[in-house]
Amino acid sequence: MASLYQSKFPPDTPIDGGVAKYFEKFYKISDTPNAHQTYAESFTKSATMIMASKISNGYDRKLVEGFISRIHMLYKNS
Amino acid sequence: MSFNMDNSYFYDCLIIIRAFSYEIDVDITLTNYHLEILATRKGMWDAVHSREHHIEKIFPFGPNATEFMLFGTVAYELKSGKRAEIPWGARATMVKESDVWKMGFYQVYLVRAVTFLALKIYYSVHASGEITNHATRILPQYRMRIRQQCRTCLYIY
Repeated sequence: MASLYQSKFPPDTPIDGGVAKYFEKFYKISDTPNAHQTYAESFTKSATMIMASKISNGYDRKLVEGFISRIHMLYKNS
Repeated sequence: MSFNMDNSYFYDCLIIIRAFSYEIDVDITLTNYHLEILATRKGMWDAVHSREHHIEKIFPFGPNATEFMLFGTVAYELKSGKRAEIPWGARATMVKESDVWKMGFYQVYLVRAVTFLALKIYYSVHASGEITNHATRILPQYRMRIRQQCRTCLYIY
């Protein structure tokens, strides 16, 4: 039986099988109530996710903090 | 659907809904100190009991693409018992990290909740005959009702 999360792709365009599987799995995780960590790990650590008007930068918050501290240094030196 | 944009009642709806959405944003920001995506994801489930995505089609940008546009629907059941089905679209960019596919960029497009909700409330109030004069301002009892509807709606998005 076909999975609930299977999608249609263009018939004449080659697709990496891993990508098709990724999307299938991603929406399944998305609909699993407590799979918060697995959901976050579906993204790269520096990913940008935009849900309607809500922007989330990064799975790893440290990258953002590093960037902020660099801005502070510039401000002090000028 | 025709709509008179000069109507002050509609703008009253928008102002209240916007103000309330900022209150919710503040709440989300306060819990965002650790991992942003994780926090957003948890926030998405606050008012939701269950949900089910249906992915209609995925459009790759050329052969063996890493960039895609997608569309489908998502059906929700809220903790309040209400149900809704919303069409969505998305853009996704895939990145392979040590042989595992991950998303480097993901944007979901939905009908703007604020506009949709304001129109919905505007028409429901008009249809019930509670407001006959287009210049009528929102009465306090309606403000509370709009806030309650916002809480349900904004948490979905």
